[in-house]
Amino acid sequence: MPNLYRFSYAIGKQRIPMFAKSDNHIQRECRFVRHSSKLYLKGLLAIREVGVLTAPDIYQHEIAYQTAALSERVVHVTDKPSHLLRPLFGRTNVAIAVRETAKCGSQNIEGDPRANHLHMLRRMDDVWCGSSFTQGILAAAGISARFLPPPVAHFIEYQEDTLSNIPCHRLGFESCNSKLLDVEGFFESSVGATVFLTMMSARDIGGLRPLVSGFIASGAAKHSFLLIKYHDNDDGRSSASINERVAAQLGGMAKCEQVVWCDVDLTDRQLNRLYGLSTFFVSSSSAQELNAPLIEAMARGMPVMSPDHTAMADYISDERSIVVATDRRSRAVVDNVQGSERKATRYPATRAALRTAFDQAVSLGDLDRSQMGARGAALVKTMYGLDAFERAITEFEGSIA
Amino acid sequence: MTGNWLLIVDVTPLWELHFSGISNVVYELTRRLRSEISTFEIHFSVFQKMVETDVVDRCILERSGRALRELFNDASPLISASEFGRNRAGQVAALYLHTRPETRSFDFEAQLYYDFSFLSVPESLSEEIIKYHLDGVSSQVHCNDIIFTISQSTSNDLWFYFDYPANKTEIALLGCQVSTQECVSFSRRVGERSIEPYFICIGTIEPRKNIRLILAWLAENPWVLGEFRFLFVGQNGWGESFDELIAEADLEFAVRAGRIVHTGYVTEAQKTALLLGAQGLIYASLFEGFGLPVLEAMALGVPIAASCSTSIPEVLGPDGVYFDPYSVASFDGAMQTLLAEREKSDTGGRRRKLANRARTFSYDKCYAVIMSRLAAEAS
Repeated sequence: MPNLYRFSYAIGKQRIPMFAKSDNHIQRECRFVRHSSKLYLKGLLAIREVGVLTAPDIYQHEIAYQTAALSERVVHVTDKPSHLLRPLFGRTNVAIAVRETAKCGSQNIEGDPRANHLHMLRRMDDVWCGSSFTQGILAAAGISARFLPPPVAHFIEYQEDTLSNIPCHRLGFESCNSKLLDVEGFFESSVGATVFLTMMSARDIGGLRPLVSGFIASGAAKHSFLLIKYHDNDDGRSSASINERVAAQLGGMAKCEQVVWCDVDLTDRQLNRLYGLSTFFVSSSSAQELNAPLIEAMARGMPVMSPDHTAMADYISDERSIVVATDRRSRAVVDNVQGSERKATRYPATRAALRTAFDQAVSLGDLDRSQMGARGAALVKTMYGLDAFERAITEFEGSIA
Repeated sequence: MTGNWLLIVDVTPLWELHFSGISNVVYELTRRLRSEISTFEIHFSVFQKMVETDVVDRCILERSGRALRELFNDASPLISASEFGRNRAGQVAALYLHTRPETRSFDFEAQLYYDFSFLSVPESLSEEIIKYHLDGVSSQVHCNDIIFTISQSTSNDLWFYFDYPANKTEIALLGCQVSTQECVSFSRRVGERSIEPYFICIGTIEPRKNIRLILAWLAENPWVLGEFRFLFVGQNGWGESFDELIAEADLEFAVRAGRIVHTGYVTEAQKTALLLGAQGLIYASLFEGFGLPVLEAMALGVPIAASCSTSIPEVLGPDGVYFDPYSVASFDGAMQTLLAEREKSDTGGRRRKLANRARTFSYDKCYAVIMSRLAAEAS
């Protein structure tokens, strides 16, 4: 008999039921789930029976299990163990751990055990992580986690929607409020040119300046474009303060009409169009626990440039990408949960390294580009495909049988 | 043996002017401490200050902390419990029936925990309350040699949050005191008159009690209001008020027509009387450390539709009608069961079983569990 999976996502006041009249479809229920956790959810939905549990911890008695149809085969999966107030007592509990580098430091409140992320992870029957890097971080904290990445490459869709109404900006001019154009119009005006696409969230914004200045300093800036898709957080919501944040990072930088940025929340189909129109995918992140956008780009056969540290060490190499050199001295960020001596790992890319990588990218011929893309796609489609995911899930189920 | 031991019992909740909830539990245990023969030499403290037994006896007699307040208002200083213990030649144990200090003062220390709602359902409490309970909680827990909990559910939390070992935990299930005199008086008042049938929902109006679920179901099934009234017993606490919840569910018409009634606060005697006349108790809580209203209804043989959450199934057992507190459909199923049994006049069996089960819970047992474990540890 296959296991039944119940996914929990609710935190804080979301646990108080409102009984609003709304569509209870699982995807709608999970609207607050992080992107990487949604990929786990989609993967499980493709191979197992999956439902939602709003407050798993209230079910503690055999009568409760019967009432809520939580049979012995139920596996409770949560993507927010630090906010999960208690597990589903008496059943198998799994945490999806994809944020162990960055999150721990801000989670600890002295004397408040529910805010201790590692305490919660230790209480789980299994911890799934998306990269060898995360696995290593957790091992150092005494937690044995399973390398079980989500099937990122399986869910690539190619249906597209137009970007004609999506505004974007050219870098330079006052406070980044330069000439406004739409993304579709931008691509029409740059036909034949190389477009480097990068996706950046609020937590990566420190890397914006070296990325842009490295691009401008490179030969790529003469004829190519750098398109920055910026989103404010993991829920994909943009905010009015993005202009100010970007301006603060790039203030004083020379005008460069070759750099374009867009901060609009796009649908999956619009993102597909963005990938489809771009030539190269660029990641300059200083630390990642999975880097799903990069894997998605590789699965599409796009050539990519990226550092090979942290999670990217699992799939980035000279053979499959242009590797961005990084400073391997980690930045001293004290991680309170893991102890005052423990530092969070960060490997920022420098302007010079990015400049070299951009130069290398524009010097590649079409054939080299397509072969590099094909080699990357072959790897990630195997490593992050549904077959690999199902094999890993079956192995996990064997371990709890 | 235990004859050499002195036991200081901290009964701070007796400070309350009107006993309810935790102060009621402490009242029941203190009453037994004063009347039962114990192998310990027992003394009492309040706010970690020693108080004479005659003051405690007055509190028990009056069911009020008025005597304690008079004592603390008196200018004469009270000796601290730790100093009192230090000056004793023999061994000294302490039993804290509610909160305790963060440091140890005695040879053996035990505490009774009711729930960890400030950790488990912080979304339904104010920040001030959470902060008050969080302050030093980990140190307090680990200062104890034994912890008594009022349910397995609270024990689960103790293990989950604090790694507290199971062999140092003892479950002392609560009892309840339903006034039979009140029941008789109620029956006499009603006489042969038929009462318009009603369901009763007991609890402070606060998010944790989840009355939204009941109101959402009533909004979907307004026909029920034609046959039954719904009484909500309990004062507005925090979160949305009763009126706000009614407005949210578009049920103002039912309140205006008297089909939904919010009584506000009622006395214990009034609550018992209202329970006795009800067709059933509806208890939709999202979290409980025990669930005393459920046990009180059981003792009166009142059918119960209850949430399957946390400790409630431990108390209600197999003869409750359960629902998932997150599902209107599940609640509908439970109510249909209760209504169908009433329709067929088939509630007698359930009522008897509930009353029989209620008799297995008692404060005598709760007291015995605590004192026998303390005696065993002391010996």
